[in-house]
Amino acid sequence: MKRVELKEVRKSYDRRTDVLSGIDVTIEPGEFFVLVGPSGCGKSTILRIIAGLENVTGGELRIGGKRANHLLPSQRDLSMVFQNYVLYPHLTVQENITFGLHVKRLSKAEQKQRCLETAEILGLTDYLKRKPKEISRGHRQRVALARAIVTHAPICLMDEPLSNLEAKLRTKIRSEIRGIQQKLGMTMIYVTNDQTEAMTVADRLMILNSGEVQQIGKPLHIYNYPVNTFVASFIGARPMNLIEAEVNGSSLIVDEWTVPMSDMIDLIGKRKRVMIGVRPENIRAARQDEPGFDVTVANVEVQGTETLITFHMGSSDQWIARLAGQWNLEVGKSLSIYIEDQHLCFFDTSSSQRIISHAEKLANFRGDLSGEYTAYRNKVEGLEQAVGRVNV
Amino acid sequence: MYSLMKAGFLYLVPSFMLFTVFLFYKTVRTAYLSKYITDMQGTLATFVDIENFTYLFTSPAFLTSAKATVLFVLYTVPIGVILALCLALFANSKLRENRFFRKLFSSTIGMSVVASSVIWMFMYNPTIEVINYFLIAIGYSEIQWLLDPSTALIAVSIGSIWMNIGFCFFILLGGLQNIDSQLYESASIAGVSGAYKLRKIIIPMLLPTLFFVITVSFINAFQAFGQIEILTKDGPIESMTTFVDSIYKDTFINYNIGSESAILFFCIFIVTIAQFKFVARKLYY
Repeated sequence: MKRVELKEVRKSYDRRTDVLSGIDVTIEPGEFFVLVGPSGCGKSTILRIIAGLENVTGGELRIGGKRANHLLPSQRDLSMVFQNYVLYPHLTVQENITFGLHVKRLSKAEQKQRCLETAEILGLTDYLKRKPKEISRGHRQRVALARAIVTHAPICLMDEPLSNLEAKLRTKIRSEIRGIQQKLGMTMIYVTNDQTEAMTVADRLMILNSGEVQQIGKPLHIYNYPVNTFVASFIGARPMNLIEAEVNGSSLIVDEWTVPMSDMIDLIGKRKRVMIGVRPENIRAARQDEPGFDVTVANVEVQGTETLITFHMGSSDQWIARLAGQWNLEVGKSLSIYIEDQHLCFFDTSSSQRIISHAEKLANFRGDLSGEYTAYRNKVEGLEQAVGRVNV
Repeated sequence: MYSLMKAGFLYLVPSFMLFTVFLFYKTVRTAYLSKYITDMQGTLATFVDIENFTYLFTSPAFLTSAKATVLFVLYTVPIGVILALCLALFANSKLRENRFFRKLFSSTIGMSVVASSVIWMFMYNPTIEVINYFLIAIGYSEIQWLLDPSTALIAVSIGSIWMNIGFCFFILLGGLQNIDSQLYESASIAGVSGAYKLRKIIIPMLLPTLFFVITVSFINAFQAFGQIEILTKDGPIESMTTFVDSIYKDTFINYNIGSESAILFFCIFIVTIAQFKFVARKLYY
């Protein structure tokens, strides 16, 4: 299994504006790495650069420790699944799966053997003799996956592979892909614009916006500690509720809502204004003994296990609260809500960056150190192996 | 239900009328004429049943014109289509300079047959000698292209290929650009060779377009008249008289509508059978 490293990778089509500006990331061997972002953010471009379908304008791409900037796609030892399957319409499923295997110097018998194995994993055994147009979309997508798996390439790239499927099938194939990746231990680089997909399959994910890396990390870490308002509103089935507040002495004021500041006063420092963020699930109905804040219900979606309540906050912003259980509220009635201090996030109004406490900074620093330590150890191990090989 | 059927037929009337006037009547009339001998005014004289056909297949003039036509088609169609395909493959890559080549290669579409024939006449002309000049330069002796029976057909074929290539190129390039570029990308990740790509992806995906181009080229070759008439003026003896040529002469010079109709009917018959045979085969996946 191979590591993929991008160092200061830049891409520009017209030599003036950068589509990608300085992408820096190391994708570990055997990792399920997801690139996620809104359309046009450059995630597919990164994938195509790794595949060798696009040139790098600046920076360095390393695959398996070797510089790969100018390697041909076929020399990079990877496989790729495209968004719209890209099956050859005139070939049968079997011919599609084995397409190009002869390049890897596999005999006809070996090709067939591998094809059957792969078809078995993906449940395609009964369809091998059919043409792509004679099978369903879900199966076509499976054929595309089979083509990637059958090569036994250590790195697999997927470009929004599930976006043409309906929701149920998407969930099913998503977990299948995850299962296969774990079973075969390949390094997976997966592009999607669906944050749910990103959260559920990824070991780590990278969030991009207009060609710039916003945040890289484990899904839950990103969910809990978004670095800026973009990540906060992009990640999560419902975006984080955001509103600008005025700092007034020792309290924050949003129209009629006043939040007394206790230990967060250090955090906010000398700022005059600050952006407050709250996840929908952290808003709850106030108990009798709690100082709740009254809001007017604008919309109610009862979803069985939970209820989504939309209400107006300030003059224009709409907030969503996600209450556990079923709430039969009427639109226009008022509801008293309560948010615990620990669930409030603060963002700088000018830079949109999250204001981070010293304790968190320290924890992040430790995390970075341990990451560097791992990288260092990997390097040492690699050297040891190389030396061992030389000695033998 | 009945009124619905009536309305349905009513909708068919306009197209049925058009077909009748411009197609059915002519076909039936051609078949009818092919069974008669005409007099010098071109009016029908005697019913001869299939005699026109038996006359045709025993007439040496018809057989030479049949041979000339078939040879002309064989010289021009395969070479023309293959050359056009090569040019289209060359001009299909994403290089910016290719815009120039695309215009260049497709420029012959706009040329009239007469104008291009005149150009080729100068090329072959024994006194101007553009082609012979090059032949002599590389050490061959000069050839009387359009006068020698053994080279006249080839000379005309070369000119015809040049005239048709722009159209074939244009259509094939369109077909190539319709192929999803991700198919190539997928193949380049697999690392297959260019020849393999051509054989396994491009040709199969291009088959419908190729079929169209080949059909149209066949029709053009069978109908070729202007360039042959202009370049050879009937050429050396009768080696250059093709079907269309002989139809023209029989009708407007000899006023022999009956045997001309027989040729025409024969041609339509052959083409129709060929079409049924090919179209019935599944070319579209």
